[in-house]
Amino acid sequence: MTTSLHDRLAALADDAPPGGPAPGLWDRGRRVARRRRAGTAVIAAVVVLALGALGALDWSLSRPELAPTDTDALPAEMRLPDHFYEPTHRLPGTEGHPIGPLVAVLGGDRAGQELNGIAGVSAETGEYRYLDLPGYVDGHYLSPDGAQLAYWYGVPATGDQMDDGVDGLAVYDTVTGDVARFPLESEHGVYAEGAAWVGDRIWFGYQRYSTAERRSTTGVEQVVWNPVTQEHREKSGPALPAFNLAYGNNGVLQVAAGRRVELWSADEVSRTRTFRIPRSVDGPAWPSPSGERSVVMADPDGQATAPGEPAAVLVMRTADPTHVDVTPVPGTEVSGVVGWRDERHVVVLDQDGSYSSVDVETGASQPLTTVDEGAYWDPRLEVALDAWSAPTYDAPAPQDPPSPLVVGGIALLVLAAGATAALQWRRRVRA
Amino acid sequence: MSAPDALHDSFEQYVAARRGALLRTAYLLTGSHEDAEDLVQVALVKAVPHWERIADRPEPYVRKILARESVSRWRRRRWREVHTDEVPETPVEGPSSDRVALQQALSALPPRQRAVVVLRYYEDLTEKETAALLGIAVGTVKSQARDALARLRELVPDLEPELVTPRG
Repeated sequence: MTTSLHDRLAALADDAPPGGPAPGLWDRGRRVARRRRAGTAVIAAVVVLALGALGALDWSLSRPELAPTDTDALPAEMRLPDHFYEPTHRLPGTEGHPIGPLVAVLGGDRAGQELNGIAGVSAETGEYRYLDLPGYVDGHYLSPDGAQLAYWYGVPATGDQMDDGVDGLAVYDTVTGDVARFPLESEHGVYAEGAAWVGDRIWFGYQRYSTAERRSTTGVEQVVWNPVTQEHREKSGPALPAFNLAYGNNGVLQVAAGRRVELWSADEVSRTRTFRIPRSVDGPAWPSPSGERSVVMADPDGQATAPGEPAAVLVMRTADPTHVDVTPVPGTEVSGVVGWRDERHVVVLDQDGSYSSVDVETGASQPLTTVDEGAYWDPRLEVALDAWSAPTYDAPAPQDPPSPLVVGGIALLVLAAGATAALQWRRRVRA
Repeated sequence: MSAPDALHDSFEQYVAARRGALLRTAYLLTGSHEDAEDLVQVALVKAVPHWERIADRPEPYVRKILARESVSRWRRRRWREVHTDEVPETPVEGPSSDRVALQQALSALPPRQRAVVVLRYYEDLTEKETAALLGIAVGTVKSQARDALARLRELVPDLEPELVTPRG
């Protein structure tokens, strides 16, 4: 006789154990549930703690730990770090929270902005941040007090364009984040000559292209502009010989040019005095705080030096225009002069890339600050002039936040491990 | 009577009323008295934390645990147990040769196929209901049932095809 599969299964099921009450199952179920909940809560707490630790680590790596220094007792003011670090790829931007005044700016490979990443170093806290400079296309000129940063704004070159489209000079207030602009109108574009700060004013030069092909210009135009008051003076005609060799104080720019040093008045936007010196200088002339003397670099034997070749530091007494006295600073052979620390000490760039304070009377040298090799070779390193006379401090490394992908990946791994552990636990707590 | 006491009572009433039916299904799923009792116990204990929510209609939830646990327990066990060709436990009272043949054939099926056969041909669930209970696709239920029946016919030749006619 054949029967259906259902009937045969039902017949087989008759061999099953008998049913009936099964005391104790309720209490056992409650105990299992409690153990599962407790285990799951412990695992969840461990996951939360791990994620919290990860977040705290990420946060701590994203902000600097300022070491206590003997300058902490001083009011907030300019401080010179004993070391400048190369900005990292993932250093955050200011994002609406300016960190100025700045003690320096440095170039860096900012994520998504490979060529034009400009990072600032806070003069007060030592923080590093990439600066968000609207319309940035070229250059940067940090004011002596680090409160303002001038740059050329416009439209960056794209595709087969050779030049950036400079629309004018902008000044970023490193304290408030405000940006003042001095637009330069032109039919065929503008060639930026350069700029130099004279106190709270910026002196800049430019030329207008006279043809669409940009093969000729109309001559140098100069502007002295106060970006706070918006007052400005413009002048065509004889221009500063070289903006990158011009430094000034008291409203006067001093420019070294071969065997002469020129003084240019910011009020008149013109040259007011020239004095000849007995040897050809290599680099700019730096006026001392009092303006009574300047330092230049030159070969002590009067020979011409090749660009970048070490040279001696010479002190010029310029108070008497009829007689310029030039005195070598004993024992100096440096790569550059960058400013004055005080009336007696000048700051030099040593051949190893570090900066030192040198006594112009004795030649005694005192180390001031060092620079990461990558930042040292980057010409975008610019230190605020006032910083050279500021107290130094033990500078911590800047923020180096881990990659968001790494942090996210670790967080996902923690979550996955937690979920797996919770599942395993719930399976282990057998009913 | 307090709410927890009422829940406890309703659970005990359900166990008393339905444990026998659950054991029958579990026996078909496992082929062993001991495993069947263990499986039913696990399903009921797992249902306790959810009893407040399912008290009005506990059967689907308990059967879902029963069916899925029978498959997952086998998966866990197969790494621990030594394979044997011995015939599984047979009833002590001397079952008919039909029952022995069917039981041996069922034990030769993979656990999911066995669960599909039990749910489809003993519990008379539809393909859709079987799929929902096991947490698999309807297409998988179809293919598993087809393969399982082919294997059963192989092992139990007197299982006539026309007598295998479950609900759609």
